[in-house]
Amino acid sequence: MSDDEEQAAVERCLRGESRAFETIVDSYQRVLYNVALRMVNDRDDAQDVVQSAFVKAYEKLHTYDRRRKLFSWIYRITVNECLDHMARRRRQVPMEEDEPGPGPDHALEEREVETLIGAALLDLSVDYRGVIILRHFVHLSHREMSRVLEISEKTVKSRLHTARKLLGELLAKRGVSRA
Amino acid sequence: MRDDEFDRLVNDELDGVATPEQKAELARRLAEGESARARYQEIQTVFGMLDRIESVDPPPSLRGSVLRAVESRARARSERGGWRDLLASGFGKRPGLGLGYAFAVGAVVGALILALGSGLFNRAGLPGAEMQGALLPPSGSRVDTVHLAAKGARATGEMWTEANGGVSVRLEVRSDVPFEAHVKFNPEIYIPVSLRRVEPSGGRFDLRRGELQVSDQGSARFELRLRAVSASRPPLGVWIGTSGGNAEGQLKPLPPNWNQSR
Repeated sequence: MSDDEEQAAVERCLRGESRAFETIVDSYQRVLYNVALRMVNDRDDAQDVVQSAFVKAYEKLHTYDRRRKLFSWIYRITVNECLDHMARRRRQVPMEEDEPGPGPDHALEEREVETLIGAALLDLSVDYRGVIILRHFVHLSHREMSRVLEISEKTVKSRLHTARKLLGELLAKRGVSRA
Repeated sequence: MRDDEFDRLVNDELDGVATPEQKAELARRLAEGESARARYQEIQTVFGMLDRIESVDPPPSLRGSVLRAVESRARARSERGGWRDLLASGFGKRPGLGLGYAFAVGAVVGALILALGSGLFNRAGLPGAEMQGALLPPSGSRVDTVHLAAKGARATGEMWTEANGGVSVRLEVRSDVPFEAHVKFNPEIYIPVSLRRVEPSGGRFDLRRGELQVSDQGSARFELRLRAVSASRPPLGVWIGTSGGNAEGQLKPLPPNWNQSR
């Protein structure tokens, strides 16, 4: 969806045409679901989070500053929903102990990689987790990430570098030395 | 070059944003020593693992549940906005009447509070005030029950027929996740007399023409009393939905053989 089409959809929603929101949902449901999934590491929870985020975005659409990118705004809402969700989950369920890693000589299956990365991501701060998700799972360029996160490209690069370094250390702790 | 700077060089290279100068510098460092090559491989391992994770399709039900929730809020907003717009249009074109608008809204709200406090609305046969407390069984007899289960939520609807010909619907929902529940009725036949929310939980509910809508999480209990204005007694619909799915059923006000027994 181009910026103009996006703004037209926002305009129609604000005029009361709720069906125009379909365009926004269709454009962003996949990317936001993947963001939420990697943030909360659970498919059902990710679905709940994305639904809440979209509904909140619709209800607060009149507060959206149109000089910003719509995705940037919805992404921020989704991340906040993820944080709220994780805070609620921490209150309800004691965090599980880390599972032991696969050992240095073990060839990792796809499923194991996903589990290991999912668990390690949860140990990163939200800012670091966010850049990893946007770069590696949503495949945004540094420039696009800079626009979405509203930080400079230099900060994007620096944050990515630190995030990967921490992730490498977390994976090493779990016994991963080679993929 | 410090280790950290070498790491940044490798990150830029693997990210595809290294300049020709950076590439040349990296090649020189890698040719120089084993430790640089080992570090390069460590960073490459992290990139490799991240790149092996594929994007996941959202569940097919996500789109529908979002759009239903949005549609429901849009309807609620337009109905809430209707009387407000009406009042505002009477004052809005004339400057200096903002206070008059505020006074009119205040007067309407005050009158509503007074009317609700006096029970006037119930006596007049209009929807009653929200009430909280123990839910006593409605008077009359229970004639139908429906149990529904959507992912993460369970709902029970009961239909009671009252001695005066009216009907009551009792809806109870227990859910671990956000849910929406609807009780649908034919507005040409059933007129709402009162609505009681028994278990306050901070969720939302709207009683509109032909439908009670509840959006909540946790538990919710409502009793909706209806007056029938016709001899016909069509069934009422009960629907519950969560992000994981939905279920619907019917409540029949009178036993199926009611027509034959007359």
